[in-house]
Amino acid sequence: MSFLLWVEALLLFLAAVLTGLGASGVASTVVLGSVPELWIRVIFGIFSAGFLAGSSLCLALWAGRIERHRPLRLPGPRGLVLITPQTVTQLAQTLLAQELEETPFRIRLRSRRDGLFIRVFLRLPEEARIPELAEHLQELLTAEVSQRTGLKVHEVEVVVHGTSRRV
Amino acid sequence: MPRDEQEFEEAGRINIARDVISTIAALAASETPGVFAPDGLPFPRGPAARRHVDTELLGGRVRLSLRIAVEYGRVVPRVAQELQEKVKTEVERMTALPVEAVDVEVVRIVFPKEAR
Repeated sequence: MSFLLWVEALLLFLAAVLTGLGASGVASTVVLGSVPELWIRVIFGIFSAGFLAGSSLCLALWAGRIERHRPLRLPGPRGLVLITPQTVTQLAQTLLAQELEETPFRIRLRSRRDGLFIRVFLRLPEEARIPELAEHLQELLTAEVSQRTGLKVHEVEVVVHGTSRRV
Repeated sequence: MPRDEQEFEEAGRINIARDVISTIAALAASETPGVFAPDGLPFPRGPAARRHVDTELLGGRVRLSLRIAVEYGRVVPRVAQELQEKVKTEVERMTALPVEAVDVEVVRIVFPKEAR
């Protein structure tokens, strides 16, 4: 996602610079003065493509953000029970904080209509073994989140991106 | 077309405003164990609670939506179902209007140190 943001920023920046040059007249007198008409059309095509690509990426990012914030629905006999992803994230964070104590971690949640996909990023605690730790966290989150929210947890992915050792 | 109040016209006219129904629902929410307002404080009673309760009146039937927070450690759907039951019972008992649905949106978890 951060890569897409960088691409979007770069495209919008390029399009803005080119448009600015065109608007200030520098492009027409200094750069474009001796350029054939076909090239000018190509340059304007690049402006247009840059803005279009940037705005499309922007829309895609916003659509993804809206999707991530959409509450999960549990139909019941008296009406709907809606649980926001923020609630589930808070719950998972508390469970992990109790388990991992001072080990830094973060959680990313993806929700689908029929359940959840949880991704945990963490630094390996001192003297911990990855397979056992990952399995334990997967079991903990799957069981506790399902039991406390009534939502199905499809997958818990544990990403170890470093170690936390005291020096 | 939704209306702001429901009328009964048997022996005279009785109007029940939507705000009254919202207040009854909020009172029921404040009495349900484990239910808090979305800001983490106890569910307010009276007019302050109306921003957490939406009431729709369609063809003499009531549909309510409540936004709540749930205390940490409780089973979220169980708390929500208990709230739905209590709201439905109270609104029907006090207004005699049939409650079609009580939708509950749980927006966050409240931890014991927050709940004052």
